[in-house]
Amino acid sequence: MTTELMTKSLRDNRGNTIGWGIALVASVALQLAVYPAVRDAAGEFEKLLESYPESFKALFNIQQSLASGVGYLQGEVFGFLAPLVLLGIAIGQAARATAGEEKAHTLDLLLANPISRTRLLLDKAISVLVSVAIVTVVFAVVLVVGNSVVGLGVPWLDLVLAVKASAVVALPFGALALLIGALTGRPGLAIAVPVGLALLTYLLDALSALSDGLRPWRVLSPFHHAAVNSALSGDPNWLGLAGLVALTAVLVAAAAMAFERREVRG
Amino acid sequence: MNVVSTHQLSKSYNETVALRDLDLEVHAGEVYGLLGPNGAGKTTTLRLLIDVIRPTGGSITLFGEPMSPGLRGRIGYLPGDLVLYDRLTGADYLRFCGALRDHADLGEATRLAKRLDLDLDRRAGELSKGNRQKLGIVQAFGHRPDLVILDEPASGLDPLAQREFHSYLREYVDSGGTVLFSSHVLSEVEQVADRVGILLAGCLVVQDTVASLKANALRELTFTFGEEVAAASFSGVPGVREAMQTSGTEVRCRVTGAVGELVRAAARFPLVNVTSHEPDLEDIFLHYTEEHGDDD
Repeated sequence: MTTELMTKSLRDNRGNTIGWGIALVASVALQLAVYPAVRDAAGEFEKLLESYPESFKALFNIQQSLASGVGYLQGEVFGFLAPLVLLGIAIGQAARATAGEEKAHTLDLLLANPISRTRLLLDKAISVLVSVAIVTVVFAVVLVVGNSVVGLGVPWLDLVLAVKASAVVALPFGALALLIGALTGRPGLAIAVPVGLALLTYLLDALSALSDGLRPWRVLSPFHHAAVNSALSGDPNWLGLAGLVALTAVLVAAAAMAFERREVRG
Repeated sequence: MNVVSTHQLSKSYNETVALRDLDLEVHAGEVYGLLGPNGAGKTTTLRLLIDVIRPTGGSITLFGEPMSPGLRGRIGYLPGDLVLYDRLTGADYLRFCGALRDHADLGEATRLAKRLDLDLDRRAGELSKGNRQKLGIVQAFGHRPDLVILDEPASGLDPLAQREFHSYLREYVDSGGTVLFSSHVLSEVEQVADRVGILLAGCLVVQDTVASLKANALRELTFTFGEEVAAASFSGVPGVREAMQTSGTEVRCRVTGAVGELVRAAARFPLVNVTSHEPDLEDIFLHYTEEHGDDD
């Protein structure tokens, strides 16, 4: 069993992974660097924030005082930045896994090799997982170090668990991109659908805090089950995270089945 | 033994029939040329064999078995629409294929690259179309497969490389390999194929050895006489399909099979000269094309 295909996929995605990784690290570092100033001027910010509509705060995950470490991280890091980057990596790379090769017309020759289509798809899926994992680890390290440098006062284990929850929520969307790519051979569609769905379910989860009408529906949102905020407060939703991992596995299995049946476009 | 065997292989896309009831047989140790105009179903046939698309009817066996991932290790493939990974050099690409095929020895590939005058240290993205095609050919043969399936292999090759490639094909077959290739270039098929299948509009209209096709083909004899002779004098002669008056003293006949009867008939007149045009695959091909066109 060779790992050549996996390592080639990792190499092919290297630029993408590094790009997203740098964007995340740089933004997080910047956010952490300005934290002391925000904390010192907390009074002013609180007044400013009070004037913001509730929906705006919900959207950007501003739930607690920005002066507290947890509140600051929720609003500035986990609210928008982390999901954007991790979803970006998972969806972008998974969408190109088989559909990118098909669109580029390199799939015929790749499939002529003595490996099963399922194996090919799984190798590509694992390489996406590795990319996500690498960025997740770097992200966690930067947060833990930054946390102690600027004195956010968040327990490091909570930080790690919140980062992990952020990464896990990206997985089913990546798996969906893989499935759509395997079904259609169209990387554009395989990006568009999961991105749209991520946006929709993110909004659903965020706004359900404000609307009683939306609240019952939030179970449909992977973001609700990932519960990054709870993880950051030391109370991760283990069952929810396990559910997301299981959903990912189901979607990847469906992608493998779809890819086995796929008629490769000439 | 048949290395490739299809039984009533069919492929339709929605309403369009791309391939109809194809019974293709490629014997071990031969070069089989699949000939046909563009859109006749050559690429569809080869892609069905390699299992990147699936038949809507019929069956395929390779080495007597249905296609499986393991079997693909015994097969080399060159797609008609060859796209390589631009960033990989030829050597990188061959190593990548070698790892997937569990064939780390690049000796054969390196030798063939040298023969075709291909620089393996350059990235595929920097290669000319002809050189990319060479790399495509090299990867198809590099793992010493038992069967090689090539879609329009000579396309883009310069004449020198074509000649080298054709002689390599012959050596490969002589050492026990089997080749199935497609082409729309008649001279190429005639030059290298042992047997040929003519594919027209998704149907295999004939499958035979090149020699036998030629023997049964229409050949053309032109008689020049010392006096005026009517073309009608020959229209009843066995084997003659057509007799045309090209001038008062010249008659052109198209004949199948042996020409003895016709020559004897012509000898009854004061015969000055006979010229015979050896049929090539083009005549045969055109003959089938016309015939097939009449069916529609």
